[in-house]
Amino acid sequence: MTPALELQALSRIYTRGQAPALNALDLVVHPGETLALVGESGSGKSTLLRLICGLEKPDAGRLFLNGTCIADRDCWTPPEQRNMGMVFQDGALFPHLSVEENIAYGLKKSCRKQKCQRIESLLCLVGMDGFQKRYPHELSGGERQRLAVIRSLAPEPDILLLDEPFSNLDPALRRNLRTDVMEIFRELKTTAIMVTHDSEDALHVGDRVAVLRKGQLEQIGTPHQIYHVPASGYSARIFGEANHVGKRWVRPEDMELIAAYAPDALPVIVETSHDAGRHTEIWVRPQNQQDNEIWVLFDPVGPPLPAGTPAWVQLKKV
Amino acid sequence: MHIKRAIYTTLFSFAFLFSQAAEPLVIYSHRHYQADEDIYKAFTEQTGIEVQVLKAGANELMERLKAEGETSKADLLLTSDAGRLGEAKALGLFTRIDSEILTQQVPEAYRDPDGTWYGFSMRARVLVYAPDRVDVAGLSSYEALADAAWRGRILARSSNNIYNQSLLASLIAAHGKAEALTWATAVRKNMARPPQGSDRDQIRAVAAGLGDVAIVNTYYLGLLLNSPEPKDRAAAQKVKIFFPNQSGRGTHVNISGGGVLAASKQKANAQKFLEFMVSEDIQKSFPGNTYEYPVVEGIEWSALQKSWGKFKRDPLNLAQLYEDGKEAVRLFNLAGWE
Amino acid sequence: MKMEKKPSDCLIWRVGSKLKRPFRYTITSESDGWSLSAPLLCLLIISPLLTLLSGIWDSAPAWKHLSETVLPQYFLNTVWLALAVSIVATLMALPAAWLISQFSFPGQKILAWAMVLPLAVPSYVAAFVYRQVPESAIPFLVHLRTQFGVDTYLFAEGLIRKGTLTLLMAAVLYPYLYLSLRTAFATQQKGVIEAAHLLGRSSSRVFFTVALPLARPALIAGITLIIMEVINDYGAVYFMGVPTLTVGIFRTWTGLGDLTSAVRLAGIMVLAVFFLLGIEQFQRGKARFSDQRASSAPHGQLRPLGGYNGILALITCLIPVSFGFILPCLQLLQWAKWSITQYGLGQLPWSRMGHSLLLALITAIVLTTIAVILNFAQRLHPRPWLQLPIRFAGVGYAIPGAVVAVGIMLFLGKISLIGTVYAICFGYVVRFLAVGLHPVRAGMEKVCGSLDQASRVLGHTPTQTLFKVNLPLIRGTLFAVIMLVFVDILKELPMTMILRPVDFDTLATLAFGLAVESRIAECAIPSLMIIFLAGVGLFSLNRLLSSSSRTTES
Repeated sequence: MTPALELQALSRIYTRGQAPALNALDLVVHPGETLALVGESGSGKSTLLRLICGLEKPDAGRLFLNGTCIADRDCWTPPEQRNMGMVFQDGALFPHLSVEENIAYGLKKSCRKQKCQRIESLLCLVGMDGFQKRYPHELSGGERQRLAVIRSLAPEPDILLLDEPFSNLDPALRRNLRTDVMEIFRELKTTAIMVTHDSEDALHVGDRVAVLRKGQLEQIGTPHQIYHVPASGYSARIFGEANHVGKRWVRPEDMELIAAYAPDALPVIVETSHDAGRHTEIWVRPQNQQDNEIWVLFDPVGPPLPAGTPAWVQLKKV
Repeated sequence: MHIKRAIYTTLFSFAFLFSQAAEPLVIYSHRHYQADEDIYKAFTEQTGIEVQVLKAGANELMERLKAEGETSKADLLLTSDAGRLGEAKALGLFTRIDSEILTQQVPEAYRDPDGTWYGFSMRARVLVYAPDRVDVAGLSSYEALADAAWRGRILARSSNNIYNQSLLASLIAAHGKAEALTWATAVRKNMARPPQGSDRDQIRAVAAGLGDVAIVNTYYLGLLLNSPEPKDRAAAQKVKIFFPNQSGRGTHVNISGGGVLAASKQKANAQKFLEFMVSEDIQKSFPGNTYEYPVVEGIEWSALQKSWGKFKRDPLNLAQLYEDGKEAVRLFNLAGWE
Repeated sequence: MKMEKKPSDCLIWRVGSKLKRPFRYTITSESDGWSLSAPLLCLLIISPLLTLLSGIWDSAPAWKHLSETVLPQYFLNTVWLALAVSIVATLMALPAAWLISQFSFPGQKILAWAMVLPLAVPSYVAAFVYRQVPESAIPFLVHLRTQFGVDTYLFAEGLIRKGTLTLLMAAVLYPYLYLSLRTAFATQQKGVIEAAHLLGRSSSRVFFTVALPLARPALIAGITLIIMEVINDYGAVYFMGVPTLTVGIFRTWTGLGDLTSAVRLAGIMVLAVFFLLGIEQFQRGKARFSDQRASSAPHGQLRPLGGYNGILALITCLIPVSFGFILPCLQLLQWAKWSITQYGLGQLPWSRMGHSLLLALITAIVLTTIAVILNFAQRLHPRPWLQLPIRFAGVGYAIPGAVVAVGIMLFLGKISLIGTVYAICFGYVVRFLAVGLHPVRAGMEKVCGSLDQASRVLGHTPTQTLFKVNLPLIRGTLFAVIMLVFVDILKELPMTMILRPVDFDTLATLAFGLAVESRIAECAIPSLMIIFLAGVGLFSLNRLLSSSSRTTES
């Protein structure tokens, strides 16, 4: 199966002599999948999106869309010929155009009636039927972002790119919108790449998640892999707390505190513990570890333990 | 790019409008006088040759002629100073003309020895003084203005002005650079205020009592005396005119004149214009219209000019004004005469 | 597709490229049309100045002489005049801008835009009028001399003359500062000012401790413009007998016949202006941050000033407009009336007005188009090789008009275009491009954000994007730029004088020609026509600005 999008050693250097924004990045996106891109700010997420849709030119490397080269040393396809969609962080809705005109903006030449139907069905899809004549400044934040999504879906792009599309919304609205958008993507079998700095977004939306660091791919895999088997401390920290166990990183919920020795279990001493509502948060100091780090564990059932209690920790299978 | 196309089309059509088919005589002139318009009209009436004029500073005009080169549409350059004419000649802008009328009518001192330019009107740079404060017996020459007795009493315009530059050039010709510099420095020290304004303003300032004596061109007094502004007429009547250096080499004079341009495509018509300028009718019109003196001998002066009296003129050939003009500006700079 | 490479691509891609493969996708002609046409346009615009500068190392016989004699004096005069005018203009603009943006008082609405009207008065016209001040002081000066001697008198004479010059220049130039300050005060976060009031600060304390420091970038930007106008002025300083660098340039050129030294002097001025622009740029970098934050803040109510305070505010604002607009206009009207009774109404210079309008409108539109092309190209290709030429294309604004004109002539002489409408429009573009370049860029940055990128991704070419997104969005800015350029060109004198076609007068050349002959009264009519046309331009500009600020508020 031809990848929907393939990046080969893609690089982008903004200022000569400084660290590249993207450093020889390889990446494959399969048709119909949603890839979430995460990473610290400055890790090259947005640059990657802008390179893919053609708003910037790579300094080295190649870019393939459905098996055809769209950017390398000798060829470059401008964004308007790439048939991609992009949802900007601020929506980038045209303030001088109505909702209808905004959606129609990307539609290829077709008869008026067809356009109207398409616009209507798209608005229906996000529950905004009847909004045709309104203007962007008359919409709420959620409505605007919905409009931004359907506007970019209207021309049936090969790939949809989303640049932190929900970051300006409040948490409740954000969860709703995320679910809605996911549903639409599944329904339309959209290939999508979404940049986010919100780990929850990434894990919920992505069929796969890619972690970027300093312009390079740190790790890529399913949300489950990424969360439970982080390849590095950097990968691990993005999605919450993780304990350094030998050369691995283990989530607190993937560890279990047991009172008696078992094979594979690691000896620890409880440092402190307290009730954190849904579970008891226990801080322990590993005994056999060379690095003298503290591990965090969540015990969903037991009561807080007094400091100094010796115990064992067992790693769950993931 | 419809907008761009529209703009280009408009531009082309306008350029077309301005490039007319008929070939009029094109004059670049530094003379701003309104009376010149009547002269051009009279020329067209008499010869049927249309005249088009571009008025601007003499140096700007010369710079433009240099840039236009062979392609220039201009036929004549008129300036109100002989030094500028000399410069145009040095730049090779003029062509030599052999005209019996011109050589006969224009006295030798007021035309180029090589026959490239000819004067058509004359003015003297004189002193204007307040008779109630200045004893006319105390006035003698330009040179005498350097005397410390005049401290805070002399008025003159900026040395940017060509008339002052030519005056100093004539002093250089008469006494050499060193003495000319001493003179300029002393006169600047004697000024009633830093140089500013026009010759008219100097006359007004004498009338108002700001200074006692001013260095001005003759025709400015004529213009003020005939001004539509009653205030100006009153001011002009308060002052008297004095022709300096009468017991020596004579008063410094300068001309308005012109030459036919080397790039001209109709040199015959251009020459006709210069000849027209020294014709009797036009020469007669200068005293009454611009208050300049005619260059042609034997033309009757206006009553006002007669009342000022005949005077002895510095016989210096005006071509010399160009030779010493640049040096004059340097000396003014050194003298601190702004 | 052929293998040919466009220069722009070479610049980016040529790094170690040996492999050549045929294009598999087309590079759209537009995308390279922009990156190609913009540097070419810049080159065309800079060429006259380069032609001029190429001669800067030629022999300059007068240079040594100049630097030993008058150069320090020119420089000093320029510096003190620029400083004095800046201070007086600040005194005029700052209180007015604060009062008008914060309070409502009698006449406030009209004054809000009338304060800008002095921009319609060319400084040389103001100088014709204000020349009467030192003239009418003569009796007083004569008295001084008889009482206190020549030295006191000379000192007082200089003081009056220089004071008048400073006052008149400040009075016609303060609107640059007023405009930038008013915008700054109006968009300042109301919250900050209200918080300061709630903390018990008095209005004046709030002004000095909160509002003024916040508006500092706007203050510096406005003063920079004023200084550039001052050092470029020829007419007013010449009339008033204060030789600045610009006067020195003309004197060196016309008197000493040394164009090279004159160009070197102009070079010094350009450097000084670059220095100023550097400061302004730096300040603007900071200002952008504060502006962004401010734009989201809702506008508060204007606080009413009644009774005594209201009248005091009214007077504070009326003083600068009176000096810069009302008084000169009254005097000109009186002269015009006198001139009409003397010569009748038949002689009104309609054809000259036609020429002025024609030149100003054509150039304003062409210039704005070029400003749009350059800025849009830069948005498409935000690379230094494009940014630098564009920055340089605006440098003509720092050079005296006549010097630019010589450059134009040297450049166009080779293709015999001098004396055509093209040449003169080209000259205006070279001289005034900066007037359009910066506002258009700011407009695009502020309004367009990522919108044009969104348009590209939605399948529109750069050209389509420009016409469908950018241009409709910055319509207001475009109109404002057209009007500003229109006003500038109506007033422009030295370039028009020297570049115009034969037998082609504009209102400005006519007014100046009459003034040179001291036919001041007659020159009142063309002067008033300039002021009227420029005033109409400013009025419509203001209407547009205020209506657009209302829509962005909602």
